[in-house]
Amino acid sequence: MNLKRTNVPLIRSESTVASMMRDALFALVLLLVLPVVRYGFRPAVMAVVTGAVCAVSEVLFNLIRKLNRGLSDCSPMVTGFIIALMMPVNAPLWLPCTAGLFAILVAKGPFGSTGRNPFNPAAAGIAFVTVCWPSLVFSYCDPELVRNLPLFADCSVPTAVSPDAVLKSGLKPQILPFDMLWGDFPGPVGTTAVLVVAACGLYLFLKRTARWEITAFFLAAAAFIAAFFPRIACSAMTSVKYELLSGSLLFCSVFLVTDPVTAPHTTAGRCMYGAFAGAMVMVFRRYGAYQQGAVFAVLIANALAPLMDDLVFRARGWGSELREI
Amino acid sequence: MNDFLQVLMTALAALTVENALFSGGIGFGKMLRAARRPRQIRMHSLLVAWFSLISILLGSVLNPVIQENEVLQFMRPALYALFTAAAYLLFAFLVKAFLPKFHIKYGELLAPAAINTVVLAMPYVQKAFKLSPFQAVGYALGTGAAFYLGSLILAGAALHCKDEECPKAFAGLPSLLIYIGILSLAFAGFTGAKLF
Amino acid sequence: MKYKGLYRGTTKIFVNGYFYRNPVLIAALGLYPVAAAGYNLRNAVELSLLFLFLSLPVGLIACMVGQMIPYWARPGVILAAAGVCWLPAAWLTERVLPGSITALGMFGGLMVCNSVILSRATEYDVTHIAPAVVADAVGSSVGFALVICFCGIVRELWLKGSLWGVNTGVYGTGDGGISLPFFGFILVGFLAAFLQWINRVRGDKQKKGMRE
Repeated sequence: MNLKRTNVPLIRSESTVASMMRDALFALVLLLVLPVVRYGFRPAVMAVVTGAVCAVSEVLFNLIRKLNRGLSDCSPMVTGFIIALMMPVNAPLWLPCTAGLFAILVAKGPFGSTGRNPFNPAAAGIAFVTVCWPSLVFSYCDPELVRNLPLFADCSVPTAVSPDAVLKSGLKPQILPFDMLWGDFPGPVGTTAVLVVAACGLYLFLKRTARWEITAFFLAAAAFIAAFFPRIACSAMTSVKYELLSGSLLFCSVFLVTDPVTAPHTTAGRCMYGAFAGAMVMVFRRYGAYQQGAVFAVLIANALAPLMDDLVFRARGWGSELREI
Repeated sequence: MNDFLQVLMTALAALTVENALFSGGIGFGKMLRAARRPRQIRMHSLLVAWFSLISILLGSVLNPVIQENEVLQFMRPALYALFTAAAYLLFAFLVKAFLPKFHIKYGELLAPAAINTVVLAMPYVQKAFKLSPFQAVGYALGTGAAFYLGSLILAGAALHCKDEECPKAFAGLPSLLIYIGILSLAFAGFTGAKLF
Repeated sequence: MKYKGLYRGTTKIFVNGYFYRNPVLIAALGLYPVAAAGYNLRNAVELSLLFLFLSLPVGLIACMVGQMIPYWARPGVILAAAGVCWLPAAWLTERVLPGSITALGMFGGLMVCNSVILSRATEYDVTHIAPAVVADAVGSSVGFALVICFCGIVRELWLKGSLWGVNTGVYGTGDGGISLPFFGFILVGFLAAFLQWINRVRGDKQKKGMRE
C-alpha cells in the first residue's frame, strides 16, 4: 500500500495573534484622525511615544529573560495606543508613558507576556495612573478654546468639565446627547468620537478580532442600569443616552473588555462577563471615587473571567474541580 | 424589613465599596492559604464569616466601654485578642466535644479562620463606621462573602501563576503577589486614595 | 564542640530567618502591615520594633509551655499570650519612639495577630530549643524589618520625596495612591521575585558544586 504524506484536512482560522493585533491597531489609528484634525499632531505623538515605550520595555523584559521574541504581534503598540487614547490630550507625556511602563512591566511581563496576562495591561496601566494622579487624568481641555497644542512640551490650557464629571455630581450635562455623537466635548483623546468608536467596533466584529457578544451584553447591562437607576433626574432614555455616550464606556466596550486573552473562552461565559463588566462600570460610576470607573470594572471582570468559564463547564457537566496546590 | 435591608445593604457594601479585604489589604495571606485547598474554601469562608460576626458583635459591646477609659484604649488590641482567643477556644472546645465528625473533617480550619487580621480588624471597622448591630451582621456576612470570592479567584490565579510560560523568578508566589496588587488596585477605584 | 555546633546552627537559623527563608517574601506571611502600613519609613521602623518586642516573648512562651497545651487549643492560647505580651511591647515601642503607637492606630493593634509571629510560635517555637527560637525570632524580625523598611523608603520617596519626614530633595510626584495597599503588594511581589532568583542561582551553584 502506498502511503502519501499530506496535511490534516482542517479548516484553520485565518486570524493569528499578529493579524488580530494589526486589526486593532488599524482601528486605533482611525480613532486618532479626528483628534489630530482638532488639536494638531500632539495626540499622534502621544500614541506613538507611548507605543514605543511599551514596545521597548517589552523588548527589554524579553532580553532579560533571554527570550528570542520580537514585536511582530504588535501587542505592546496596541497597549500603548489604547492608553494614549484614554488620556486627556493636554496630559504631560510622562503620564501615558508611566501607564505604559506599568502595563508592560507589572501587568504583563511577570505573567509570561503576550497571551498569558490575567489582566488587560492597558486597563491596569490606566487604573494605576488614575489612582496616583487623578487630577492629571481627569483634567480635560476645552475643545472650543484649544487648537494646535505643542507636540512634546507640557500644556497649560483652559480646562473644562466633562459630561461624566457633571453626571457624577448628579447634574444634567448642558450638551445634548445628539451633539455628543460628534465628539466635540471635553474628554479623553479617543473616546469622545462615539460614531468613530462604533464604526471601529463594527470593523473589529466583522474581522472577528473582537467578539460582539461581549460588547452587546456590556452595553445592554449598562443601559439597563442607566434606565432603571438613573443618576440624574431625567427620563430613562435620556439617562441611557448620557451614560453610554459619556466617558470611556463605549471605548472600553470595544477595545478593553473584548481582549481575547482576558475574556472567557466560552460563549455563555463571554455573555456573563460582558453583562457583569457593564454592571460594574455603572456601580463604579455611582459609588466609585472617580468620574470614570470603566478600567477598574474591566480589571475586576478579568479576575472573575476564569470563574465564569468554570461555571459554564459545571453547568454542562464537564466538571472542573480545582486541584489542591 | 428595615433591619433586613440594613443587613443586606451593609453586606453589599462590605463586598464592594467598603471592602476591607481588597481595598484595605486585610487578610490576603489567609486567602492565599485558603486558596491552596480549593475544596475547603466554602467551609473556610463560612467559618471566617462566623468568627467575623462574633468579633464585630464583641466590638459593638466592648467599644463603648473602651472609649470611656484611656487605659482601656491603650489596651484595646490586647482586649480584642483576648476575647477573640476566648471565642475561638470556646467554639473549638464545643465542636470537639459535641461535633466530633465535623471536628475531624474541618478542625484544622478553625484556627486559621478564627485567628487572622480579618477577624481582629472587625472591632476596628465597627468603631470606624459606627455600625449598628444589624449593620455589623451584614458587614461580617459581606466580609465572609468577599473572603470566599477572593479565595476562589486566588485559587485559579495560583494555578495560572505556576505556568511554565511565567518567568522563573516570578513563577508562583511573586506573580501571585503582583496579581493581588492589581486586584487591590481595581478595588481602589471605590475608595480612591483614602486609606482604609 | 557542642557550643560551636549550637552557634553555627543558630547563625544558620538567623540567616535563613532574615534572608533565604524570609517569612514575608517566601511564605507570604505578615503581608498586611507591609502592604497597608508600610507607606513611610517611620511607620516601617515603628512596626519593626513592635514586631521584635512582640515576637521574642511570644516565641519563648510557646517554647516553654507550648507542648503542654493540646494541639487544638494551642493557637488560641498563643493568641492570648500575644495579647498579653502586646502591652509591654507597645510600651517599649512607645518609649523608643514616642507617639508611635497612637500614630500607628489600627496597624499597630493588628500586629497582635501578625501571621509571622503566630505561625512561628505555633509551628516552630513549640518544638525547638530556646536558642533556636531566639535566633528565629530575631532573624524573622530583621527579615520583616528589611522588607517593610524597603517598601517604606520607596513609597515615601515617591509620594513625598522625603525620608522620615525629612525632605531629601527628590521630587515626590505621586498622589496618595502610592500609600494604598496595592502598591505594597506589587513591591513585595518584585522583592519576592528577586529573592526567588537568588535562591535559584544559589541552588544551581550548590548542585554544580556537588557534581564536581
